[in-house]
Amino acid sequence: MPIRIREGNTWKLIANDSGIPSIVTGTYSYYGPGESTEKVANVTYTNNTSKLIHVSATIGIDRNASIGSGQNAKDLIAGSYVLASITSPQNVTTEVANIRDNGNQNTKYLFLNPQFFVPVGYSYIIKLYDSDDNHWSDSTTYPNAVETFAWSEFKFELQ
Amino acid sequence: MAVHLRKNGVWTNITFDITPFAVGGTWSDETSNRLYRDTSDTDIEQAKRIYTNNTGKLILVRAVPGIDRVARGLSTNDISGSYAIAYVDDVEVARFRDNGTNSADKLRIELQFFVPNNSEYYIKVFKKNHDQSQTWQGDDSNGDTYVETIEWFEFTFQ
Repeated sequence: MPIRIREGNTWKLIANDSGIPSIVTGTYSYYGPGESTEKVANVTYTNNTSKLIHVSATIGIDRNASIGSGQNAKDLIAGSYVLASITSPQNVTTEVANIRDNGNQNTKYLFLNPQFFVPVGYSYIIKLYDSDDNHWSDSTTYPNAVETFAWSEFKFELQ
Repeated sequence: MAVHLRKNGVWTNITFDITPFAVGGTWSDETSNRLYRDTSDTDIEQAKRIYTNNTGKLILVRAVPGIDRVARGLSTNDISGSYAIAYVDDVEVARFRDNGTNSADKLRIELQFFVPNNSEYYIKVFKKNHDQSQTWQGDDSNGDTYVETIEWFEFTFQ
């Protein structure tokens, strides 16, 4: 049976059957290729969920398809890296991930998987650079080389 | 001091000592209980490598599959550039490549990812020139699996 108290001319419910949150849980949302919304590098997104989220994005370059198979193509993608940053509502930016591909340059695919938390109200962006610190999105020769392989956001909840 | 309200002829305490909420958790070592999913195995064996979070809680998985190149009789070219993908409910959530020197004797690939309660999760390991059909699979001539679990820990949130 509910318990009510009188405030002014109104009886207000002060007890109910809902539990006190005590368990951390959460759910995935997916934004990779084939999803209804696909997220990509070099675009700013904002955590508007009212919950803390954890981003895990795999972005990269399909070397043969986008650039080529020769030594020049290998040299171009070898040593590329991503930087992820978050920006607070007060416009303070913090770098939260820095992952370099130091792998075998013979691989046909460059991919990098930064993972980081984004507090409520913060925006975030992931940028991909080559080994000479040039932003891949500024490439006039290969403007569409960077693609999303997978992108998930894990939203934390209390239960 | 407790505050009471009169309810159906009874004084009812409406104040409670609520413990401040804090996130905690515990690690469990599952190294001996987990292995990557070998796609060359039978469906039954593969099903055994699909794990379910039955803890009732959120977990964080930290898994390190690897290959002992020398013990398995493999060349540096065989293992360099190998990578692993973690899946939750059949969707990719983490990917990591071995970015080390190809002279390494032991390949190590660490994946970390969250698994909600009741979700299924597994790991596959791929060779470098992937179209995701070139997985590591099977055993060497001595019957030892190429990919072994170096470490596998799970953090259960409380």
